[in-house]
Amino acid sequence: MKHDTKPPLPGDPSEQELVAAARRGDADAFEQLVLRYQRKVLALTRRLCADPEDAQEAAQEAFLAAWQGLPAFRGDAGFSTWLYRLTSNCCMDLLRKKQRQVAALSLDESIAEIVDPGPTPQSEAERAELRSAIEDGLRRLPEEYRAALILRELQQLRYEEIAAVLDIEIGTVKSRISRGRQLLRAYLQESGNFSPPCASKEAERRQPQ
Amino acid sequence: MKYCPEYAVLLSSFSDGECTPEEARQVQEHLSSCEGCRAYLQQLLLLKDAFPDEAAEEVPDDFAAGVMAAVRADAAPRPAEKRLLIRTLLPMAACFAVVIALVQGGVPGSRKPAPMQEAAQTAAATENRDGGALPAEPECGAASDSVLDVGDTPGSTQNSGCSAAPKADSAPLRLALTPEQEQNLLGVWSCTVDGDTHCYALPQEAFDALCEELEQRRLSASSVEEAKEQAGQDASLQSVLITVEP
Repeated sequence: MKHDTKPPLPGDPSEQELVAAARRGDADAFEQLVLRYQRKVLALTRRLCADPEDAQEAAQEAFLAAWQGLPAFRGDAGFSTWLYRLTSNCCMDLLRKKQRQVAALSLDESIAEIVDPGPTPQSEAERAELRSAIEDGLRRLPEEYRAALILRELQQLRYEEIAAVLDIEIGTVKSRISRGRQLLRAYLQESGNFSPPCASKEAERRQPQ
Repeated sequence: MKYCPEYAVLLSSFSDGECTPEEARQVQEHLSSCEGCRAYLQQLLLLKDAFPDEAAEEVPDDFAAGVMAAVRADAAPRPAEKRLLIRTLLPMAACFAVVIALVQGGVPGSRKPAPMQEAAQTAAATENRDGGALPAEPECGAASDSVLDVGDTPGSTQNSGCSAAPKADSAPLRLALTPEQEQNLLGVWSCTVDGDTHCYALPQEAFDALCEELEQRRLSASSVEEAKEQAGQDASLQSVLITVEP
């Protein structure tokens, strides 16, 4: 079984070479691209689709779509941008097809009003717990916000790249990410994952039980 | 203190380092006097810090294998891997040669263009007529593997590779693997047209360049027999690669 590859070494074929070869029908070259991107694609699909099996299916669909679409790929956007776009589309298609609904957070400003200075997780355990809560919160985000936020935080894409992947304006990217964060933050506070040990009595009074 | 909603997007962009210098200045100025927004920014940064990490993603061992199985199954109906070229070995005149390329299948994702099919019938028919060799006229004295012989000028009496009434023309010689991929390899050369068959007269160096290009793409076989061998007995050799610009 092939294992996930390490980052390419200087002597390895460049991504450009692999893409060019795959365009000409070289399945082995395409397999190298799969190995290089499978982790990123799965990271994306697992969070865009709540169900792990859906995520795997969408990831495979995305790669297959890439293989079939390669001859038409002009390379004016980067390969990764193009692949992420296919991935995002496959997830949306699959969610629609299977009519998966997830409970969407509504932006309730009153919850968000509970503002305490952000805590620093005191330990690895707290950090892991927060991370897990973020995963939960992500699942509850409306699709559009979730997609933008994941591309930003997980894939570390620039806003410009996100705009290309999602085929939206940069202004829309900014607002979706911001809204996603607002909702996420609200969810975390509501679920008690984001409230610090509070110093002031006032904050104590306001905290939900 | 609550944060200022009108600053939410700016603060979010700021946390990503995506503000313009002007926007950043505006944010910093605001932060200096707004505790609520400072707190909000701090929380944004915390969210970013605690966000799940793509590197920690676990990939099932068989994921890539599953993808490649689908990819290879997709490619199977089109025998895309085998493309064969049969070329003349020795031109008659000192510096001219001509080549016809045979293509089987295409590249993934491409549709087989109709013109290639028509040419296939021509090429196949021609092949049958000559009993296994492509339009070759042995009496012209070319090597046994030759595909097509052409004299030093189109329509010369020595030329019997093409039909009796060739129409001389000049056209760009293009190597087209699919309609989408065109490569103007060798400029403009004389061409005679016989139905669907186009015969080009090329100088030797141009011919060599073309052969080299096709060899690099692993498109060549040295004879019809070898080509058939590579393609498989039942495979139909089809299509003419070289097209004339309309």
